[in-house]
Amino acid sequence: MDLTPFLQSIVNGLALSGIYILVALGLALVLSIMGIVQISHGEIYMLGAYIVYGLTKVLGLDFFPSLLISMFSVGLVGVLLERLCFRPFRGSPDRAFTISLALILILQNVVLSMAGGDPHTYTSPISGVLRFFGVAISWKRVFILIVGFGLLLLLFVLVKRTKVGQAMLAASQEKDGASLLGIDIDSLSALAMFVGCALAALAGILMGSLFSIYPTMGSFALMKAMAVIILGGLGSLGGAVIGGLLLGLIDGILPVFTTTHIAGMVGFGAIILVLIFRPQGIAGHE
Amino acid sequence: MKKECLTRVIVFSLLSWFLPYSVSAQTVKIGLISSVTGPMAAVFKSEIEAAKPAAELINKKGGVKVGGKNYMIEIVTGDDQSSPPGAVSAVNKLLQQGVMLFVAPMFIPSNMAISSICEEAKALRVTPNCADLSLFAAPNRLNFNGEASYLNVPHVYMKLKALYPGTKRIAIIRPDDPGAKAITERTIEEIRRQGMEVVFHEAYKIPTEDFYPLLTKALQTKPDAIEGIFAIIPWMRGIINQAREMGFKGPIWLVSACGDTNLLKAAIEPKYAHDIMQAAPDLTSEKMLPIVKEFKRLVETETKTALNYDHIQTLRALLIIVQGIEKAQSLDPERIAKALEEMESIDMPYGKGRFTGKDLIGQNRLMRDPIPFSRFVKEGRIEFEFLPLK
Repeated sequence: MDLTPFLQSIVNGLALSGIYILVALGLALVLSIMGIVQISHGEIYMLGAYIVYGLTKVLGLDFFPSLLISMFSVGLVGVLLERLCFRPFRGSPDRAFTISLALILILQNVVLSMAGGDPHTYTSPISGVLRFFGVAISWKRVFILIVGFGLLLLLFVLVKRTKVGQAMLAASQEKDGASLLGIDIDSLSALAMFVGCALAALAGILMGSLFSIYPTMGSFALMKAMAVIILGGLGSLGGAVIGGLLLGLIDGILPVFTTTHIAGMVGFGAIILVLIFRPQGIAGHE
Repeated sequence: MKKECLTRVIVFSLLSWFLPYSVSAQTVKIGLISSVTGPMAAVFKSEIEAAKPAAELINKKGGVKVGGKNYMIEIVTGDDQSSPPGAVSAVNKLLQQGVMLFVAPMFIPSNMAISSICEEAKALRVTPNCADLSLFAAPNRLNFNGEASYLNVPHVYMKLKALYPGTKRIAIIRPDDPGAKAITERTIEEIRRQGMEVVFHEAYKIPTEDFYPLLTKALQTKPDAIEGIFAIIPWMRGIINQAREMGFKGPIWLVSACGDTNLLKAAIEPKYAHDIMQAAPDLTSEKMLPIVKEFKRLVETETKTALNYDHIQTLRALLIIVQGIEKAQSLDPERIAKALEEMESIDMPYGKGRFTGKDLIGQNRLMRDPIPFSRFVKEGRIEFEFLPLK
């Protein structure tokens, strides 16, 4: 029996998991600290990719400096959004949700008017293909996988081992209590938006190096990120790993043995099942 | 002084009253509906960009002549917002302005949505390019297909067979688009007719850019060639780059066009740009007719972007409408439709063409003109030719 398709599908699935985790991390962070479903997260992801496109194609900068500039500037955009759009509505998630909805249209149309609707591409310096046991995967995908899991590890260390991380954890569990303990919720929210948006930008940049970029590319990212955090558990980093791995493997393995349509059904069917039997998600808490 | 002033006021009033009338009396308004916003804008906005240069090109040659009088053409654009409701709103707005001749949206759901409205209003449409034949069959009488890729299938496959005589096993990877149904069935039929075999056939969800899972499955069937029918450039880029990454070295082709050949070239890795073919032009080729070269200059001056395949679609549709009007010597959409149906020869950007299709859909609504065929030979070097019509 030829095991190559099975091995290839697992590798495909793991690579997809890296991508999904990367996209979901930022959203999970913003959700847990600020308590809002930031549905324009996909547009932040798109913005990161477009900034790199502009820097590499228009200004001729190299990929990695462009990546860092983009992450930093999108992080700053996040801080601005937190200050101007979300902070005034803290405590009323429905309003924050509406603002977030408006941001989707605003950001998409800003990019559409500046860069047009055509798909664009840029290349990263990472090239070549890794081959083993008849399996092939591009180094770009391997890089995304490494970055995805690497950042996850970094975030774990940040949360578990640093004061800021502990403050974040406290704020995510009980904002008023954390505030009474002297934790500055405003600064923490701004930091969460900075890190969350920079992570979204990074995900967008890396995905853009793999595929093409276009103003509505964020809707795919948002859908997957939401699925990952619902599956894994709202506000749980461990949950993001489980959700990302599960969804990535479903999307990587099932289409090889069934069809892409069935894989899509199973992925979202799993979410419904989780919502019915374990509403807090696989690794979430009550 | 007072009298002079009064005279001026009267003259200006009269001029402002008559001037718009006289200008509109010498202008033929043609509506162009495409996607300026929404997800399909990425694919179809070039059509709108090309409106001004295409009108300029036609007007420079004297516009359109009816009854010994020259009319300039004026394009009024409408945004279908990549959706049927948007298309309905755009077409109603233009119909209210008295527009009766249209370059119809290439986005099939939008085209479908405006069909009955236009038929009822007796408005003529030329759809620049469409693979769904049902839009041009009864009860639609006034919709013409400016580029019927469906008709090209046997010609393109004959060429592919000649280029790769050893090719037997074909894997078809196509988008899950209802508009692709007829041309896919025609392609499968032609593959078999050419003595080849379809070893894999699966549709992917729109939009997909990660083809690793699908290609894993497709390559297990050991195909000699991959047919990427009905894809657009981002999907084709994914299929080509990822198939090559996964070790597929054979030809990858499209019996249709995924978009501009040079945009496709820019989108794929240079080392993978070999043995790739599509039925689309290389608009930078010296083989292009003078009208395309002139249009290229106008588009590039106007839009500051390179002429692409979708710009040409607007020109194709407008050339058809203008020649139909001249042949009919009327602006009446029904007379123009009758003229187009009967015309033996219509000047198109790639050569002479005419409307056919009576045997297929019961009326001559499908443009048959020379087929552009581009092939990436090595590291993106393009060989281009027009396939002869037999």
